[in-house]
Amino acid sequence: MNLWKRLICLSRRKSPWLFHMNSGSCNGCDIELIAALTPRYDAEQLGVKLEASPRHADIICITGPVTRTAVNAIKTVYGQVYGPKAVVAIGSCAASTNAYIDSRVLDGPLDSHIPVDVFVPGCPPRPDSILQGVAKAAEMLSQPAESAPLEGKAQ
Amino acid sequence: MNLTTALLRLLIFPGLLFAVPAAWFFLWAERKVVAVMQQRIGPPFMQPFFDFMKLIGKDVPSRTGLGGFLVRIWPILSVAAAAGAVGLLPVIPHSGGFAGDLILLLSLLELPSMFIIAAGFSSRSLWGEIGSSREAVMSVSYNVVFLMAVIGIAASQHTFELQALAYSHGSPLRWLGVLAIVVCLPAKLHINPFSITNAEQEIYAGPMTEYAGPDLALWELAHGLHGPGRGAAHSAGHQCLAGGHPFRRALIRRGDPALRVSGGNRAPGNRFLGAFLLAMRRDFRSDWRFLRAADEAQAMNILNLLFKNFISGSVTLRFPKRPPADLGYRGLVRYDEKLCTGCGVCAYRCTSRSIIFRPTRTAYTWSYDPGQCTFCGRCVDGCESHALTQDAECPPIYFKRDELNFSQTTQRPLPPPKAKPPVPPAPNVTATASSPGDAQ
Repeated sequence: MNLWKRLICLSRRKSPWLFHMNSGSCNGCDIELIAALTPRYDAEQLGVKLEASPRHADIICITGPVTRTAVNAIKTVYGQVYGPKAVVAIGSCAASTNAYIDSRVLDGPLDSHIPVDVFVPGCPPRPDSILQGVAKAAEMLSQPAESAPLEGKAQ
Repeated sequence: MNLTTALLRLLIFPGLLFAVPAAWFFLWAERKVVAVMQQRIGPPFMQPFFDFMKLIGKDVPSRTGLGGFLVRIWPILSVAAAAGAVGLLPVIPHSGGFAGDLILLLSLLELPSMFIIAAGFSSRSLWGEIGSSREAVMSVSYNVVFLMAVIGIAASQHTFELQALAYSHGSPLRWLGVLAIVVCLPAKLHINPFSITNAEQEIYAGPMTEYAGPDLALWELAHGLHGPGRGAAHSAGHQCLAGGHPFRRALIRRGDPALRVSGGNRAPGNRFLGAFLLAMRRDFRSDWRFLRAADEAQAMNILNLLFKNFISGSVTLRFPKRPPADLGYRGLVRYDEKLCTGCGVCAYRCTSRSIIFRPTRTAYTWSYDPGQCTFCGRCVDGCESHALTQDAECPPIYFKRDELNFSQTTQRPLPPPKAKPPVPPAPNVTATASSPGDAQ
């Protein structure tokens, strides 16, 4: 791996931009994600920026058990993010539909629709757990294995 | 100014080569100042550089045809215009310039705004088009004031040459012009409350919604180049109140002879700034000493608050550090098979089917899926034999769905050996015969 690629991999770890998506969450996890941006936890020290457009994002943070109406939106947004990208499932709901497991308006947990890289458990998870999850996802993005398709495209 | 000098100024100093790091520094400073005002740590120093490199390394969206070409060309033109504007700045004393370069500078500064409007419309996004029309409206609104201010300053000095304007003596009109420029500055930089173009709550990223990867990196760079570029507008007004060009600042400090002439002019401005800071400081002190209910109104004064935050340092926890969990925090459920009696009440009380209890005749299996758990603690409350406890710390993050699952099978204790059932007494035939029923 030459210097240029190593620099780009380092930059991926240093600058994770988030896109936050709610797939029918109770807003508990969403509030904790916002709390991770507040002065006490300050996600910006990791270079995190909450982006408004999925086109700008590297990491998609999805909260909530996936409702039937949210499935198509999740797939669309996942397609709109350009690679390399990672998905962080925030809260027990996104991981496993949690207490709503019997609900008939849900369509399975998140990982039955898109690949999930990091699960942050908790109901809701603490802001520092969310930060750990995002940092872990950024580290996964910076792995050379993740950039292998990019190298393949260049050849 | 011959061609070589012009090219040198455009590409090396103060043009592209020096302006790009200056742009990154401006982007960093913009975010850092906000962070410090909010008592945060804020982004690391190299953050804009890493952002740029990461965007360069992202996958490139396939854009084809004339539309794709247009979408790609706007950010390049925007960076070129902003870099050209920076290259025009009279940072080297007596380095030339030509009559009327102020007009060229103003048009170069205005071009990126035009390119943003064009970019929003060429990206064919609904949000981009709304953002572009807003940008157009805002551009018309502030440019009337901005151009009047700059042209008023120039007219009062009878010259359209940047160098002459930067080193000229002031007139009372100049202060009005500086005031107008300071008011227009946030509008030009799209800072609140003038951020209708990229209002995230309504129209996502406005004209930038569809941009990604290297194109977005160029837009960020163009935005950063505006910072030093705006210094140009300020040096036309001669007083760098809110962030002048860093190179020019350094020259002022070094005592450039061309600037020493107008040194007397800077004094009133500095005195004004000093008095302002002193006044804020006195307010702050009185707050500090006599902070009580009656002073609350003053304590809520936003300027005081910002100033206090500015000097009091950050309250942020550095990243790997985590705050301790509160007393009675409900984390992962732990199971002690020695204490368990196998009653299965925990599975019955579980709200989210996280605990599953499978009894058989000779054994029972207790399985727990933390990914499913609500951490409500009902299982722990219901466990009469205290076999279940909860961690007082956060559950760890995990990467595979079933990574944390736990399952334990326990043999039921063998029942005590059965005593032989007592032998029933031998039936007494005579007694049966003499029952009352027979008598009847």
